[in-house]
Amino acid sequence: MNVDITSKHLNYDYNFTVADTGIIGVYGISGSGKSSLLMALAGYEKNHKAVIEHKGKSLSGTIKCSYMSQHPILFSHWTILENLEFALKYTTNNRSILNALIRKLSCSHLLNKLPDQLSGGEKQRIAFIRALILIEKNTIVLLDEPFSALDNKLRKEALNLLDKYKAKNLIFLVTHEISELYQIANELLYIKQGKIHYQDSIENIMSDNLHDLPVASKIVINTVKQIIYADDVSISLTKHADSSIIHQLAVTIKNIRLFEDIALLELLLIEDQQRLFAKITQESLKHLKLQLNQEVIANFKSTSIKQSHE
Amino acid sequence: MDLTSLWLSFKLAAVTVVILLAIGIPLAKWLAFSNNKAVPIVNSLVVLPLVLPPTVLGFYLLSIMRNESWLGSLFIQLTNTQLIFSFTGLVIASVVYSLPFVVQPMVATFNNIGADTVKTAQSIGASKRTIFWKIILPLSKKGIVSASILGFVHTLGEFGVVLMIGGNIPNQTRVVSIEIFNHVENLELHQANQLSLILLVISFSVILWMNFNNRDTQVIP
Repeated sequence: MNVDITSKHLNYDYNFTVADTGIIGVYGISGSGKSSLLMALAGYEKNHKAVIEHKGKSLSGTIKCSYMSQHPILFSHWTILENLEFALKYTTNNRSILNALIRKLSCSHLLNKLPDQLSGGEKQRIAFIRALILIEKNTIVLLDEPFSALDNKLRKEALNLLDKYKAKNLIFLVTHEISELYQIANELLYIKQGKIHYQDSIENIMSDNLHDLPVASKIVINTVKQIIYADDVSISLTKHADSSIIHQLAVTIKNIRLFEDIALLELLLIEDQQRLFAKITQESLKHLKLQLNQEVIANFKSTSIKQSHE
Repeated sequence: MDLTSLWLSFKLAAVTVVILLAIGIPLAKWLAFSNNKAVPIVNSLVVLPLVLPPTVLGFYLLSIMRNESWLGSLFIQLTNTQLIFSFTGLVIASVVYSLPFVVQPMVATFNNIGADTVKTAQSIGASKRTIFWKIILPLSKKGIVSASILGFVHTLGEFGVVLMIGGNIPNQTRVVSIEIFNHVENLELHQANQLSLILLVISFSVILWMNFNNRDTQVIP
């Protein structure tokens, strides 16, 4: 899908091409124009020129979107159930799907309440369910910081739910949490001052120190997928039995890249050949006399692990 | 105490409010949500009765409704009665006079609901008609009730326009404010006081009720 959206009034110019399905992470600092991009894609911005094409055919005005705002709005004169039932009228999805979503996001106890009686996180969950229930074939999903008020457990559940849609739908996910994008997104649009600063696959961004995003790896430890940042991994030549660190994994150094005063080490776990990164100072590199193909120990604290969705 | 004039005022206020609701809701919706360039002009016209002296408004209404005018002569042809100095004439004048008191609070209420609510409903897939009837209108219930009450009490208290259009015909156009004026002119201060007190209590009670129940709604537009 090709997108070219320009607004002189709001001073943005977005021009990019994305796959037909998958999760596109939209990332950038506050005020960079992330929400504007979503609003423009949803067709809410009027003073702009928008060309959205698929295989050369214009999609402008014909796209079905499911949009969740940064500050989700529930209709205050209806109960939560009535709010969700209203959305159900505009989708081919049936009530059993709605009930399953309600259960998975632990919202059954909220159904008879009025929106004003809900906390910010509860409202966000309901709005997220509403956005999911509206997803049909070819629906473009636009989520503007949908999990900002959720605790870790619910956030994980929500990410799991969203992950199930990425094979069939194109999802734009705005978030400040880079770990969310590392866990779930396929691609990243980095927005800066109303423009696409860069666009790349999440895999490339995670393993590349060129961008100002943290280098990280996605590995499976004890059957659970984990995100481990290069900043959180240290290197030692031997295992330390007297250390508080449990995760001391034998690795081989596959690559060493130098950036100013730091060294980025690409490591392979000896046990199962999974890739891991470690960021250390060049001083440490010299001190430990590290070399390519050397076997060393990668250490990281359990608290540094961002558990990914299952 | 003769309550005929009071009853006439209530009847006038009730009919006026019903008409104002029928005109005011679509008009306020248009003023609040339309991007049409004519919105500021129409809005200014709606607000005009707030700032114009009732005599000026009455004078122009009289010009439009007099027997020789297009509207006045049409009315005579249709009903065989004249529009000025009639209850119908009073209703038309009251609708114009109280229009800003009903439309302005409604516009404020619709604006309070906010574009985000409308966008959310749009994003779900609701049509403009559904959004208005199922979402905007129910959410504006308090504001519309307040606007109606304000229009009602404002019509109850009108004097200048009523005098210019309706004159002083018992049972037809002599509303309570004119009756009070007659009493004072005839130095019947006791009767003037009785009717004034009734109007004062009604108006104060209604405004007090609105302020207690509707703190988020503007009382004065």
